[in-house]
Amino acid sequence: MGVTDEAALTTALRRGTIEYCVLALLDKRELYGVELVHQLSNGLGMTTSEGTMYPLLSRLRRNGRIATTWREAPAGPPRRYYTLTADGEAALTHFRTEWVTFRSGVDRILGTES
Amino acid sequence: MTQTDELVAAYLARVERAASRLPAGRREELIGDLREHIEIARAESGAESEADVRTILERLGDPESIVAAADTQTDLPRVTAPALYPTAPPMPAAPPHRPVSRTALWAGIAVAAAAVVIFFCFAAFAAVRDDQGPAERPIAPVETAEAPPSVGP
Repeated sequence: MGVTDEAALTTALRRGTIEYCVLALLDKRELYGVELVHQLSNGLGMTTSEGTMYPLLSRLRRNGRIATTWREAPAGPPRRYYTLTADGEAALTHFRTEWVTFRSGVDRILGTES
Repeated sequence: MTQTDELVAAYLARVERAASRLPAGRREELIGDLREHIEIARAESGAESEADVRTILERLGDPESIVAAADTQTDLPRVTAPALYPTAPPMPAAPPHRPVSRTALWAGIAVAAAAVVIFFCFAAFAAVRDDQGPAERPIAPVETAEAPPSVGP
């Protein structure tokens, strides 16, 4: 499998799921951009494409699933915190159910049940 | 402007060039988000060395990939939003229509076939009656002809 194929596979796998990872991280607590992007990139092995997450955050904000609020920081410039909206929370709850069903189906077919 | 500032400016300029195909609002938002990220990450790393800034920019990634991600994110709402709102009625309306018209087509074919079958049945029935008509008449006289002898003895 070539590097390009592998990258395409990873991109395809992330496509439908990463935005729910954003919502899930923000469900725990509000995070400012750098924190959020670092947690996502470290968690999903995307440490050289953190910038690609900003367009996603921008869309989630436009769709009303997340919101932003400025807060003063103890040191340095103020931080813009991302928070989960009620819509975002509902979307996350729905996705969790869908994901479990989808994952078990794929696991059964692939023979990768744990 | 320090050398690290120049690195950042050059990076953002590359993003801006790559993002020229995006709508102005999206482009400005993207550059603003990235500028903010770099500013905060620099403030947090404390050290202002060129290596630190390079690491921050490397983690952000290739400007072209970032803009490509923005492309897909601008496409997604175009796909989902029409599905949810304006184009939604025609979209779900279309599939129900197709089965209906297909059903109508099959029903039409079935009716036509039934009509043909019925026609031939009638035609065949009529032919049989025409055939049997004369045949029955000879039989009846034969039966009546045979009956008297059987009744007779």
